[in-house]
Amino acid sequence: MATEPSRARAPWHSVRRILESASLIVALVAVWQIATAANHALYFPTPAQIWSQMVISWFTASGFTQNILPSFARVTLGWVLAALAGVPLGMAIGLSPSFAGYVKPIVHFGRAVPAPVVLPVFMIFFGIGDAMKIAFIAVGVAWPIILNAIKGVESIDRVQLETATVYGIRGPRRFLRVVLPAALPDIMAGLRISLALSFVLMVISEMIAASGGIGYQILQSQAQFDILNMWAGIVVLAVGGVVFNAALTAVERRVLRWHRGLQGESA
Amino acid sequence: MSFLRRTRTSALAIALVASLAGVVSAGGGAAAAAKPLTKVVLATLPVTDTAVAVVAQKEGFFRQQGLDVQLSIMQLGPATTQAVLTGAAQFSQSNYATLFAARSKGIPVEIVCEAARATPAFSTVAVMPNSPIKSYKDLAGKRIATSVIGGIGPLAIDAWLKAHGVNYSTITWVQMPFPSMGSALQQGQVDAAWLVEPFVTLDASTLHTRTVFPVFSGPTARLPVSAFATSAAYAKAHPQIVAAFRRAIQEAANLMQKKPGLLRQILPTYTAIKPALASKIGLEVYPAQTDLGQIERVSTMMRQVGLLTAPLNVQSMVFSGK
Repeated sequence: MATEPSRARAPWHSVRRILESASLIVALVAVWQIATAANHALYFPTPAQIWSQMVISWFTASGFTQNILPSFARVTLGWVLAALAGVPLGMAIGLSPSFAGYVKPIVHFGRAVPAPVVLPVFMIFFGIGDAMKIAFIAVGVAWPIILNAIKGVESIDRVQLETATVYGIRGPRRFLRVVLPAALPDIMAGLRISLALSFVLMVISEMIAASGGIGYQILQSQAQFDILNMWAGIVVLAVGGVVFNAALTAVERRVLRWHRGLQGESA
Repeated sequence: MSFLRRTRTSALAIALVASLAGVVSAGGGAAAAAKPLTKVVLATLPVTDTAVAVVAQKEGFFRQQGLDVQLSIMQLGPATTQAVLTGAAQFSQSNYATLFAARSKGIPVEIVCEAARATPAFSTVAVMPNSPIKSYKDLAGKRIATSVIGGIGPLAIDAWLKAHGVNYSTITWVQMPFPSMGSALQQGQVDAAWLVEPFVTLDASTLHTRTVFPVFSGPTARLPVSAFATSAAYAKAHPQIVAAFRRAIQEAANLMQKKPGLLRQILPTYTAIKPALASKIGLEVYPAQTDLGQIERVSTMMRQVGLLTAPLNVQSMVFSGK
């Protein structure tokens, strides 16, 4: 069992961690600034220029309402839908070998089809509005969630299951107290992968028939050789990804607290 | 000298001269055959604009100019221009809206020669047969599909509508690839679509789409739509290669003017257009001489409809080497 840091040390511990990672970021940005300022390359503006472009055209009222908020809202909705559908489906496949026999080949087939290829198909079924984009993201990121849920259930320690059977733990109680907690680490891993993938699919979904959004602005800027605005959009996208990932990590920490303690990993 | 000796001497002399001549001609022939062709890559799209380059390749005009041109076919418009700027290709077939947008941002791209100019039959604004849009006046405030926002299609449509007194700034442009526009029209996702061949003919035959107006007519008639371009750095370093490329294109364009059927034969070889369709579609024109005044029509129009915010010195971006 890993020892918890004492309450008196805990705040300084996390502050120190934040400072350590922040210092590396600051150093990298400084190197980036020096290198790009020295080179004057047309395709590589300095971080200072990118920041001022972000302030001018991305962090404005219309920038938020037309680009940043809609795109992040679509990412969130698509990912949540994929999780709500994918986790139960994956666990059902893992729990029932006969159901798995029917459905697993379809899952592997669906995962193998590259999402951008089916974008025009989504256009036909869902039109060209938000519904299409959210559906596209949801269907595209569901596969890692489903596959990880299957793996999570299938790789539960046999001894745990047999012990539960011996003690007569069946039905919903068995599912909630034995199966679900044991499968959670893999499920959370699947959710983490899907979150990153949903950002990619968000940009792709805005390639066709979009009129706003982060991906749309990046692609339009690129097409019209507005390199600075393109970079600003990329940085906004990256920062968004970091924020979302941090939020998911915080949830994961809370949910898997029992697991870490048991396995003896450090926090 | 005795007769025998004279004959032998003459025979020897003739044999010597003959073998020397043989060596010289063989050596000269080997040298000519061994002169290597300069390999260059032309980044292009599977559209009818590229036909003149395909003709230049198939008829050997590039080879005559000492060039071995490899066509690299891409799918997205701006990708061809980006290819020459990154050095992935030496030449590109790019449309003027992209070229001028790049130049106005300081990107060092240079026009080698004209590729194609549009004709009325080549491109239309199309609607479904039961659409409430009856004439161009009804297009204000509507959603129109285009392949590239701010590209040559919206530019020509805006300029045409402006010349005919319609408020074009209320149009909402919806970007999608040409093959998707048919189903988008059918499902009412857009009110109208900017189409170019072969989609004008294809959608008319499958969906019975109706033409609202031909995009390249009246004020936009014979508008140059695309050019062959290179990076300024490449043009400065290899002016002879760029000039050779231009000469080959001009010869191909001349040939196409003399043999109109050649274009319809060439199209199925590098696009998805089948021969039966190729015989029906409206064609562009391929000028043999690059006309600066004609190219400047495009930049002037871009200024008028607000796609360019400052005047552009087009002459400075046209290759002037020999």
